[in-house]
Amino acid sequence: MIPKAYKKYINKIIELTEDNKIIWDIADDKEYSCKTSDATISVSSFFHIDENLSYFLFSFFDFEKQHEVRFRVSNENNDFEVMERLYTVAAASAINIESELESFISEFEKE
Amino acid sequence: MKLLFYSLIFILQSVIAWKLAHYYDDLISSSSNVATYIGTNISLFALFIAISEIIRLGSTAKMILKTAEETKQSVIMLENIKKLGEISSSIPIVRNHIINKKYVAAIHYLNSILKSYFDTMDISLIKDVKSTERKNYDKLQRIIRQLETNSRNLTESDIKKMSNDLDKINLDISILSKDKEGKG
Repeated sequence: MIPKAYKKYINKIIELTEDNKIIWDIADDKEYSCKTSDATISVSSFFHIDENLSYFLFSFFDFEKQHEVRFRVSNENNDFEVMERLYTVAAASAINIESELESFISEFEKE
Repeated sequence: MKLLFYSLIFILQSVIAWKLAHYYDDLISSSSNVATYIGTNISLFALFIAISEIIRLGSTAKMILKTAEETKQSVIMLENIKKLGEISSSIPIVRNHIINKKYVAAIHYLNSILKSYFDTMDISLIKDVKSTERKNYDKLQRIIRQLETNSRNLTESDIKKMSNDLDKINLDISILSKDKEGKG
């Protein structure tokens, strides 16, 4: 589950991303990150073969203080949907989905 | 600037000497007063020499401080080059540990590499979200995170990607190190 201390911030990050106030980057395969001059936050998705579970991993790394905090949420947990939403909006921001879809649809509209 | 200052001192000395000459004008007839007049001028000349020496010493002290600061910077740069060399030689060890699935050892090395990297790099470059230094710093952090959270599920392709990322980071460090050596 999402630890209590993070919950309202995760929702705030989702909100700010949807308002295009937070812009994400593609960090890696199935991982998106957002950077400020002091810290990097990232959200990634992975599948745990042994546990047969899907996870979303959230990480906040403050390099000035040299510390990282992170938590993960599995698909067996109630907060999985919130994390899925965070991952989805982060991915949409990183790949600039609006422009991608506009371009995709315009191809059909030409015909 | 220095020449202007010396000229001002000289002009000032001449003006004072001229004023004193006027002041002593009526006394200058006697030989003892001539001596006083000459003595005053010699004192002023000595004062001028003393001020010049103070200025010269001041600029010498400034030069010494500047040289000391340059030496300090050179020592820091050499230490950084040494640290970069250590990071560069540690990365292939980490890569081999990952390939051989010795993840705990790899994490241990990576944590110390991350710390050295932070201590060695210019902080402004790490703070710059677009810089190569920041990208590589985040990449090192990401490899640690992947190893710590999901090492049992890493595929051969994940391992190959980590290995390639480490090689790329090492190449960037080598370029940076050579660049610093060139500047040094």
